[in-house]
Amino acid sequence: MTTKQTSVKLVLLGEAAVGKSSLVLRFVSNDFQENKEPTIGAAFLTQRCTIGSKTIKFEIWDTAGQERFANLAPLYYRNAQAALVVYDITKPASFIKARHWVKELHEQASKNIVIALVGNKFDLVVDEETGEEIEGKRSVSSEEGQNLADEEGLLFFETSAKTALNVNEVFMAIGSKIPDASSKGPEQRLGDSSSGSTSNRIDLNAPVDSAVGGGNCAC
Amino acid sequence: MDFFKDIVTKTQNILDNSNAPKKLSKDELLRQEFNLPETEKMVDESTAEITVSTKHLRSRLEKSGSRDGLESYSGRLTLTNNFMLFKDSYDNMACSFTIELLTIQKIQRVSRSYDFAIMLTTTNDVEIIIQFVGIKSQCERFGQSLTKLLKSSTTEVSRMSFFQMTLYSEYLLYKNNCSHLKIEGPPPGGLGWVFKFPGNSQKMNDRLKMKKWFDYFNENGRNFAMVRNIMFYKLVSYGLPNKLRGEIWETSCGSMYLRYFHEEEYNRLLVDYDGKTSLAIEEIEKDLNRSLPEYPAYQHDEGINRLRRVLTAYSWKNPEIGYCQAMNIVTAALLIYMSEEQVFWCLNVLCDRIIPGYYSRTMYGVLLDQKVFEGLLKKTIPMLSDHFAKHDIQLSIVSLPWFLSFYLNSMPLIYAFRIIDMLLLHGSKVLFQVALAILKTNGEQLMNCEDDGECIAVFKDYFTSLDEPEISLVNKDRMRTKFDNLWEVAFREFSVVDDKIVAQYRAKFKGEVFQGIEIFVKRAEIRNLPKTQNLNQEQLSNIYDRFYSVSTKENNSAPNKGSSTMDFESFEVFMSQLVDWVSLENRSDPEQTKFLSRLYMNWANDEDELTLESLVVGLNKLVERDIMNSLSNFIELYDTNKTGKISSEEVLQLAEDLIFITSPWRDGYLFDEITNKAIETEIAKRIFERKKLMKEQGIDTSDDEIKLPSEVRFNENKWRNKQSERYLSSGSNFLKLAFQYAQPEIDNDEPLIDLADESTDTETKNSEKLKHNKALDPSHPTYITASMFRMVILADVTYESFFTNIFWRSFHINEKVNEGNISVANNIRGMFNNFLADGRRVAIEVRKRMDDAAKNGATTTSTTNPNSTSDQQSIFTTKSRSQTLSSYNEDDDDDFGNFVSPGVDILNDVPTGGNDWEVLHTKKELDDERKLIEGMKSTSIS
Repeated sequence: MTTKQTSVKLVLLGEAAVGKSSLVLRFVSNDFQENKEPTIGAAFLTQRCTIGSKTIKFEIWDTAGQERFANLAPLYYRNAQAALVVYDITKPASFIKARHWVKELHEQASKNIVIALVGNKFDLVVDEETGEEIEGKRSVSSEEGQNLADEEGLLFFETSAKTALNVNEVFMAIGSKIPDASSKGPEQRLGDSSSGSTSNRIDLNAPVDSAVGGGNCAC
Repeated sequence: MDFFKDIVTKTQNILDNSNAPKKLSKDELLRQEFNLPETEKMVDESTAEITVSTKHLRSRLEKSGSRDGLESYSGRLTLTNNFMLFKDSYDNMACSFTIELLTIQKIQRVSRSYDFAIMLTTTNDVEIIIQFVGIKSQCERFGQSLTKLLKSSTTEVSRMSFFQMTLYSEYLLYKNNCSHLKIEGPPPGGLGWVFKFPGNSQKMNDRLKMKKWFDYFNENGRNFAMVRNIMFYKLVSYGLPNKLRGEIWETSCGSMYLRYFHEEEYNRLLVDYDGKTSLAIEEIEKDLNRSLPEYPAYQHDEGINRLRRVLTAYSWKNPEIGYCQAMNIVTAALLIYMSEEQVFWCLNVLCDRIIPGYYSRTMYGVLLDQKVFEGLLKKTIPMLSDHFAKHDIQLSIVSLPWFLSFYLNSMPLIYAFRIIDMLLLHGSKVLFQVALAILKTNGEQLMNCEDDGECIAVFKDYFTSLDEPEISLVNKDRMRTKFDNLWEVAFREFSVVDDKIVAQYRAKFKGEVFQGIEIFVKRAEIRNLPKTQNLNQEQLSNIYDRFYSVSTKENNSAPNKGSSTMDFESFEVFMSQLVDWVSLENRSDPEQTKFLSRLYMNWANDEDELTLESLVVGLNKLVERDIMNSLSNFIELYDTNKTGKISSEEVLQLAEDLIFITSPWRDGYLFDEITNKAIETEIAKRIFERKKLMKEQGIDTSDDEIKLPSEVRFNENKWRNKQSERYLSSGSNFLKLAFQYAQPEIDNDEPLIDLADESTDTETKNSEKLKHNKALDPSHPTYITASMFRMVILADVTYESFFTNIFWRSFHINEKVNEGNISVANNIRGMFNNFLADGRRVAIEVRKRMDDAAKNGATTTSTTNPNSTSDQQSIFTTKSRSQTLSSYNEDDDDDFGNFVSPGVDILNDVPTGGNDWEVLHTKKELDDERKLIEGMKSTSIS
């Protein structure tokens, strides 16, 4: 492995059952499950992908969505360089919650954190046959999402973990917005800086590794 | 946002409790020690020596040819309303029992000449000889209490045997002809009976384990009349057999007693709440299909329905917890071995006693235990702890799910169940012992990890290989799995981590953890408040703190309902702490109550109680600084029908309220801007004169420097009276003016307002009276509008100044809750000296006079007064005042008496005329001055 590799700690936040784990599962294993066990505390997964000349290793913290677990969130977004704030485009309450998460991150997380606002479950508002949007199905309009993203300086996507729509795109967009490892400087985590650079660390133990593979990911 | 409110109240309560740790009563300690229900109370106790025997035990001893016979144990014997309890004093595990009195079949005196002894025989043929140690009368009393209790409970014997039919131990013994209790078929059990138990029962020696327990029951009794000895603990540690697991679990943790004493409760909850919904119910529904989905029963309605029923019933039983993710996994796991009702009560014991706070809204229990775990690691394996610290690896991220779901979602189920066996018997220390053992056994690999992710990978690998043989040099010959090794390390090596140490560490980290939660919750709640223009983050934070300090304190008298709204009484307390014009001493004052009720009703917006949000929105309006907006907000309080018209009754009340809120100024407790300004002017005058005096003495003092006196004394009463007069006349003027311009309800014409007209013309004054009377005439309703109100206020110098400068300042929103309450009348001296604390304005005034004097080139006679330039007192640069209040003509004002009392100031050539006004410097300054003057005198002579 000689390509330049950057580790990016990414955290997923959002109301319960908006599809955080499903987005990760889609991204990491290109898979979808209807009944996934709820996340207790948080799940940790990794995925590598290549963007241009750089390889990014996403270290993904997928957090529990139940309200009371929100207390634990600071443990996970600590040091995170990127965050996915996810809501369900059919659940207005989840959008309000997303707004709160964005504020929380801006106030408490690292200064340069790259945040993507993600409206998930797009599949629920389109007709399976025609692929066209059915009116009245969604509760949060694209404009509302886009406006929030513009106000707060976020990336914005509407996705479907079920159909894989835009899932990789979110991660790719985040990846390209992350500064290079070299330019990270003091932002880099202690563990990384002590070993000089993340690029030549060989990670045999990575629990879920490159199921999609670098090239695939860059689709 | 109810969620946050609940949390805040909770944390506050917890914090309050933690600040004053409650000492457990003797009964509470006893219940804790023996896992008894809340209803148990001690009846009597005695020291005793116990010998336990059964037919089976005796025959085994005979067979083995043991000569020693039966062992006896000495310890404390306790009698409660339903149980007889014993624990060996030297070794808790050597012998202990919890015997339901109903299972005592026979009680007889043992005839021994030298002491007092009785023998009990239980329904399952356990014979216990109790030899009392102590004064005979006490022993007799104990015996009497026992017989009395036994007699009173005989009627319930049938209930007991009915209940015992739900226990597998009874069925097991009956099946093997060792019991008289006839049981048709196995009792209701867990899903495992139908859907198979996890793991290979043959590999797990299930049959052998069963036989061991069968023997144990025969020799030592079972369920409600069982003696625990060291063998009991060994058998649990060995791993429970599938079919007995549920029963031993509920015996171990004491949930069996709850099930026994509350027989109908589980089903009643299900019936009572049938069809009802709640947030917890919604959350449960989301997770039903996501709980141990790989176990076959949970791919079936049968399993899902049981899970739903237990979780639902529990959420109603304990709404404060409701439902927390992870409970679904734990419940699903317990349901494999236990009936629904057994699981339900077991959950109760878990949440209340074994792992309190784990599943609570704040999850404080599990967060605290992560800190405890990190602390224990630092103590027991410091090398690893240092390594984690060095690489910024947060262990709690990894360990939290272990604790929350008892390793069920980390380890293969069969191993997690072994841990639960221990957890229910020994309590939460087991979770720590296992966690430490996991770290210890993986120490080497963990030392190579450089981030959280790598650690997680190590653990993941380890958990999936627990059934693989342990490759260790010492035990090469023995077939030992990694799990066996873990067990050994956890419960032998880390047996030092006992309840006492865990409790110590919990106490140590409690404050820190609760504070962290509180900060998080506070941040979230403040963030969720609507935007407030006039309140910044810090002020919101102060209001938040005060809100909760008041509302929770008040709630302590009545057990709170988890709501954090504020009732009127708390609101009074809140306002008395926050604003100048409310005082708790005036609680019975109808004016105060009336105005506060108006605010309360207006802000609460038809709700019974005030929320933080409504309070903040309300306060935000009142602390408005712009006078026009401030007046509009104020008059809004009286526009109850939102018509824009304030009726004459309301205007009357408004006038009274104005008198009420200005009372600290009217009564002279506080000085307002106008008085302050006048006083400052006077101080400035004195300083200027003194300066002039010194200049004339030829002592050069720099014009750039204005030295303020360190203290000011003057005749308070004079000022007070002047101010009172102003407020009194403003109060009556307001009413006069308001009614003069009040508009009759029927008349559509806008009233013409000509303020200049009114005060001079006597004719107008007469017609005014007329209007006044008319206004109060109920047959001719009149009203004023917001703009009229503003006009009337602005026409009055005192009221205008009040709303411009004082009203918003009278809300002490910048003060933190711990900084003490605002007490108006507390420190008048301190208040006067505020003139000096805010000396800038005085200094400016002096400067102005100096400048004027310089222009006029005026000189007068006076003594010299030097100024020590080295002094660090305030140095001010000139800036002309942008705003002057004109109501006081400073030059006309000759009420101030004269300068400096002779006793204090040595400058006797300064004109004195009274002692109602003093400008004092510190003693040192005065001394310096004197020396300087004397020095100069002597030089001039020479």
